[in-house]
Amino acid sequence: MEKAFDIKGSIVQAYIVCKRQAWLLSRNIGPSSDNPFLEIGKLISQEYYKNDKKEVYFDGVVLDLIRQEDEVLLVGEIKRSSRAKNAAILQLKFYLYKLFKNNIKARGKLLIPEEKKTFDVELTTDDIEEIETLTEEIALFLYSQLPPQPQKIKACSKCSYKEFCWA
Amino acid sequence: MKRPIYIFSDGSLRRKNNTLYFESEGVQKFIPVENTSEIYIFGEVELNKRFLEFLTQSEIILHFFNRYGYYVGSFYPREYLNSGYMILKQAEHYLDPNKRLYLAKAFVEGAYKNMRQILKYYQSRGIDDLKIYIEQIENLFSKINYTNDINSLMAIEGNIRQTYYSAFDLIIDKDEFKFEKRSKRPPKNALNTLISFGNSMMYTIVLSEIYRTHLDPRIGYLHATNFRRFTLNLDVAEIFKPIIVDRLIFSIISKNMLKPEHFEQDLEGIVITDFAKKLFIDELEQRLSTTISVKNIGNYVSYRQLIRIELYKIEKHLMGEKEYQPYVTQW
Ligand code: SF4
Repeated sequence: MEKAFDIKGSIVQAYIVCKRQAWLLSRNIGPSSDNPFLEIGKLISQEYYKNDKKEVYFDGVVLDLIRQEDEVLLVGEIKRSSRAKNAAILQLKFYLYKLFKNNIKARGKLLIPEEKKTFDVELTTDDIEEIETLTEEIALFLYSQLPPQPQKIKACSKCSYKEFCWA
Repeated sequence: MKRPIYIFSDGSLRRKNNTLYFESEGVQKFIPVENTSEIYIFGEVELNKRFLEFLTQSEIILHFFNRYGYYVGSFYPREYLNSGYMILKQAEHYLDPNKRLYLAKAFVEGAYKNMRQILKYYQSRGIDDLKIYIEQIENLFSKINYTNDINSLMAIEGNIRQTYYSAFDLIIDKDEFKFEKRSKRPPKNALNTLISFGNSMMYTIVLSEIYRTHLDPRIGYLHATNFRRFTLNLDVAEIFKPIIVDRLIFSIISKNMLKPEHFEQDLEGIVITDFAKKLFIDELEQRLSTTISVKNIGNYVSYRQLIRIELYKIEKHLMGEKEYQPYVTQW
């Protein structure tokens, strides 16, 4: 395949949790939508933050929520639980990085309404470097003809690829 | 849980706000989209474009049957799980004769093995005469190794199925439900009518499951693609027809749930009444939600999930991840 893959935030996030999932996403093999956990996710973002702009498309990524605050843009990423918190923070940083590359000042907030938790996320210079190395690594990884074999990890039990992976 | 909706009465279907709305002879019904997986229409129903757009948005597929219970067609909304990668893989396996033959053979093998399991089961229950039928289909199947083209493969499959069907009289053993010979369009007796109806239902069930995957239903392997019709669902349905439809028919008839009066003589053949359709569908829904344990997947999966898993196995085969082996019942 000659064309490099579009690296979306969801791919970055998936890559941290499960590389196989990232590979599948890159081929647009999306998860089955009747997974109850996905439905819950959709409902949660519909239910909360009624006054904010949601699902904003920007440079190949989808921002869950944006809100203008003073001079900076607040980018919110809504999650069902804090289970994969680190991957979610990285995903958010990746969005901030994309915005930064387009000269947009922004800060991030990880939102977990069901747990009444929020986490502030800022992009540091170290982060920028880390993200650039990571996206290169991901791009290289995605070239492989086959996805890595599924491995039973903690994330599998609630993953919407479950049936696909173990079929 | 999303469920299929079955409409037998005449009336009109509309969108009302964000709900499906059905009106029939003054009776009004609201059907929430969140709970609806697909809609089956058996009655004379009017609908408009706004309604179809709403179905597309809600990812709901629509199946039409005429008043005789024959499948007419489906409204298959724009695919929402679109993967160009998967479609290319699907086409690759269609265009390469060896790859296509592999899959086509796998479908025939799955169908054959499941038919054989059914006969074996009834043999073990004391119908000794089934032995010759089993031997006959075993012989027919052994020819598959020397087959290099789809047409002869189809012919073998046809012969196996014919032999298998002719064993139905031994299994059912009721004068009112004699098989005689397979007759379609129109079926000449009640049993053939029931088989045709059951098979049509099976095709639509598989089609609905395909809609929830990345596969394109227009590219089949055993059933030739003519780029206009759905064929992949026919391929996959072959595997499940014996274990879902035929077993259901045997159980309904042996429990005397259906009688000859539930079928009507029409000008040309025998048609199934609404009562029989409803009964069959009720039983079918029950069967589809029955769970069984499957190796690898571990916990219990329903027959409906089993169909989906079969499609995932095909996807993995197309990707080159894992060679496809058809599901065979343990019965
Ligand atoms: S089921 Fe497990 S292996 Fe498969 S994509 Fe999900 S997390 Fe990865």
